[in-house]
Amino acid sequence: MSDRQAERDTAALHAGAAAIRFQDVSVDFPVNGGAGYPAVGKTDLQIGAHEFVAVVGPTGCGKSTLLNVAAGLLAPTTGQTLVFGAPLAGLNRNAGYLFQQDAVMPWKTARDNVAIALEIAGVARAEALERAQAWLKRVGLSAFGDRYPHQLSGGQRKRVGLAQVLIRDPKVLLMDEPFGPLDAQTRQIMGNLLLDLWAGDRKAVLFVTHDLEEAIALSDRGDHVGGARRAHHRRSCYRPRTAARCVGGSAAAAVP
Amino acid sequence: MSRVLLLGLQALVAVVAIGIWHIGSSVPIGGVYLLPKFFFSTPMDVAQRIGKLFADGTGKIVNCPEPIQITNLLSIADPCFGKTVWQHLTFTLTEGVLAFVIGAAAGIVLGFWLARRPFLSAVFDPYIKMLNALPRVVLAPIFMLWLGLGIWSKVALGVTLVFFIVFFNVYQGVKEVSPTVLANARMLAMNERQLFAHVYWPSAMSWMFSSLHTSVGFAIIGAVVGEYLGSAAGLGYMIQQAEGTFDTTGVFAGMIILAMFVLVIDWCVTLVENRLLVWRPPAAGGRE
Repeated sequence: MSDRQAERDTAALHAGAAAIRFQDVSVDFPVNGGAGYPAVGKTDLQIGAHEFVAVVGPTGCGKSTLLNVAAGLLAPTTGQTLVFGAPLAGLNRNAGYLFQQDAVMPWKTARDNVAIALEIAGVARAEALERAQAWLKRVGLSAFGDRYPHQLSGGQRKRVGLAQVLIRDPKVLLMDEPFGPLDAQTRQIMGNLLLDLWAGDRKAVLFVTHDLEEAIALSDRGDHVGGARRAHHRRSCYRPRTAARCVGGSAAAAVP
Repeated sequence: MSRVLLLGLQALVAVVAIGIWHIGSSVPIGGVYLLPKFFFSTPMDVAQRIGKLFADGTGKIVNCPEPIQITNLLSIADPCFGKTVWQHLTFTLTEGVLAFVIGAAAGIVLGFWLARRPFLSAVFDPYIKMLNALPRVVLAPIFMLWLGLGIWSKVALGVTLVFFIVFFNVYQGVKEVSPTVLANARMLAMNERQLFAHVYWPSAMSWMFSSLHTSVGFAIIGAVVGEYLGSAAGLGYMIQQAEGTFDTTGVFAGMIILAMFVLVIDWCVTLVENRLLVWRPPAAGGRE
């Protein structure tokens, strides 16, 4: 599937289609016996090929669910997701996903964790290790390649995760409060690192966070480096809310 | 606490325990031996027996009247004939290793298989629980009937012990893979085979190795109990023979040799574990 899909995707990319487009996407989680619990209400959202879009909302309002739909880890109850114009079926092969929790393999060293992303795509081990080392250097971990995840700090593990995702050079970056568990200072450093790396090729980014400041900070910096700047947020999430009302609100509001 | 002090205190425990044993068995207190020689032997006798066993290599764990020509005809079962202590050790070790390898292999294969097939797992669940609840010693007679008095009946007993430990750990290890690590691996475009090699396998192995001490211990228990119940060689047999002739010294000598043997094996397991689980955070009080 992947080759042909990739071709189609490339064609769509050149045609200027949105990197990700949610059309009427809603997700219900089945609750024992009763009707589905609406985690995400009807959502229409579009992320351009070089856009850095932040989705802001409090915990439990369906942000991560939306992200999982974009990744193809979760099938929407209604609607569909278009990836570079093509309907998404199965996993989104164009996307790299940076999770909120630690997602690197604890049984592999930092370098192996980054290299494995290439190895599974068929790159020879020696070359993969070399490129992994280069990426570790870019995220500021060149001296930590031999460490296991438990020997790294939370921020360092995030850096490994970032390198692991970016080394595959995905066209779309999905980020689920990736810096949420970190302290404020580290979060800022990681944000700057992300923007520096993003400035290189300006991938499409869908960035989910509960932190409005972080969202604004990142998209401002996006502006600074010349990217398109639109911070999406679901307004209804800011009111005293129920989950249904929160997710039922309009999906996007443009910020100049 | 310094290492020297710790070692000193550890040695002190042994000295006190042996001291009590020695006094109880060799020094009459008010005309009475608190630990009569017949039932408890003495530390000196036991030490001498162990020394002799390893030194002269004839492996006579019991005191034999010499010569005993007639029983030589039944030499397989003759405690006074043939095997050295090293041969007994080798016998037990071979059984233990075979039991561990076979039991672990079966446990890994079935653990993976059932963990990935919830339906089959649900079907077999009551039977697995039933077999696991069964005290394995009661299987020993049937194994002897099926497999004879040789090595394989002991291996079979050890396998039934090792299998369930490894099986449950591998099953759990596959089931309890962190969903985030799994989702991440899938997003990195791993196929089923790669998921197995890089995610499920290491996770299951970490669970299995965390129970390695227990499962190796059980392999040895299976071997020794099997030998004790009916055999012609091995440490369990050695102890059983000594017991059969009221040779308390022989029983204690056998027990101490067995304890040393298990300590050495446990130490080897720790070495293997440290080598293979180098990625694992220190158990308690680890950082973050």
